[in-house]
Amino acid sequence: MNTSRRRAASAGFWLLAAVALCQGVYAAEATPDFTGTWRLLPATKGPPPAPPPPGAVGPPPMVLAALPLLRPDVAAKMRAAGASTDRGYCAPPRFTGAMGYLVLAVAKLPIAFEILTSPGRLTLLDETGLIRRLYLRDKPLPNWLDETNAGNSLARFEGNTLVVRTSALSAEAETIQGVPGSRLGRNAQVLERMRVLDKDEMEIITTVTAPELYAAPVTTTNRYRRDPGRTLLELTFCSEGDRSYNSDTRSERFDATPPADLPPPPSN
Amino acid sequence: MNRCIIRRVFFVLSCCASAAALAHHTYSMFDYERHLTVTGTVAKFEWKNPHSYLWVYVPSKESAGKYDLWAFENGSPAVLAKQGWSKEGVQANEKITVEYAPLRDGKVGGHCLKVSFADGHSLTCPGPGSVPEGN
Repeated sequence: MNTSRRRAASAGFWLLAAVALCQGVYAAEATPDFTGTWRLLPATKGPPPAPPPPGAVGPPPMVLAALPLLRPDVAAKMRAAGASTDRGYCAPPRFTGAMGYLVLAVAKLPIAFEILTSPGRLTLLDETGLIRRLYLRDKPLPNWLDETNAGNSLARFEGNTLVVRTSALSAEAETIQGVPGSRLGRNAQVLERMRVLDKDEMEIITTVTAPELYAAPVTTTNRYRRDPGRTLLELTFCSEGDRSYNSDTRSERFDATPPADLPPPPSN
Repeated sequence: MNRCIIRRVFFVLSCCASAAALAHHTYSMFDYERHLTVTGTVAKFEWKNPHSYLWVYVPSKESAGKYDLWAFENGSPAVLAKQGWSKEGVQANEKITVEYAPLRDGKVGGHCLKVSFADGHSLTCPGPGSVPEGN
């Protein structure tokens, strides 16, 4: 009897030890869970943006004056080129260092995105159709392209922070949508430090180095909330049948041709 | 230092307007100096990119018993959804009041600024001057 008790106690001990060991190994290897749908949290509230003045063209001088990190020649070029409704119209989604938002001339537009995890890789997909694959490895993959819309991203964990280095970005990518003078240019690189702050909040500190655009690296910090209930909706500026733009004449319009399936007016 | 500069950049960007407005659209066909209001019956809510459109039957001022069809441009669904809009939230045949920036050419319609519904709730239309930063 005593022997069988001793054996049972011994078995229990070894079972508990094995469980503890497994938990220890698991804890040592556990990495933050970035999986899910994320939305940008608002920054400090400022006054609402003003509507555009009638007939306004190009970034106003105040915008240019507020970009001290722009290279002087770039600022001059941007001032000369102004904004275009045509050149950026059908551009594919491109990564410029902004994750979860687009910078427009009048606002920072939030764009929800989803992170999928798979062995050796995280995949980020946003509502504009941008797809970024972050490879957990040190060296580039074979046959990586010299220039891509999403860039080539190598990632590694430093503690609980995912450090992502992205290069091979499109030189045509506009940091301010619709403003050709804001293109990243060649040899731009993005460094991101992503960490989950608590269960449902994430921070990304982004440093963009773009020698043809900025006089010095630009660092921004954004926070995001995990939002499992959100439906990701496609957002595109290039759509057939756009009522506000005529792609044949490359001009704006207000096409008030009624839809074919309208119900009849109310009966009196 | 950099963070301060970037905050300043975003602040000024969001305070200033330019022709680029929302990506490909200058909104120059709308007169934002004027905010008008009209009441009518929803004919259709087009829920699509790059802009949704709200079609509204409004009693004609010229012909008694007749209706004019008004068109109001609104934001894209992805942006609208972040401000409480939904495809099902605007139903055909319901009465609404639309606050809008009119078309400069004098035609009926414009850019939607706010829609008020019969049950008392209202929704803001994103556009120049009312784009949310967070969602």
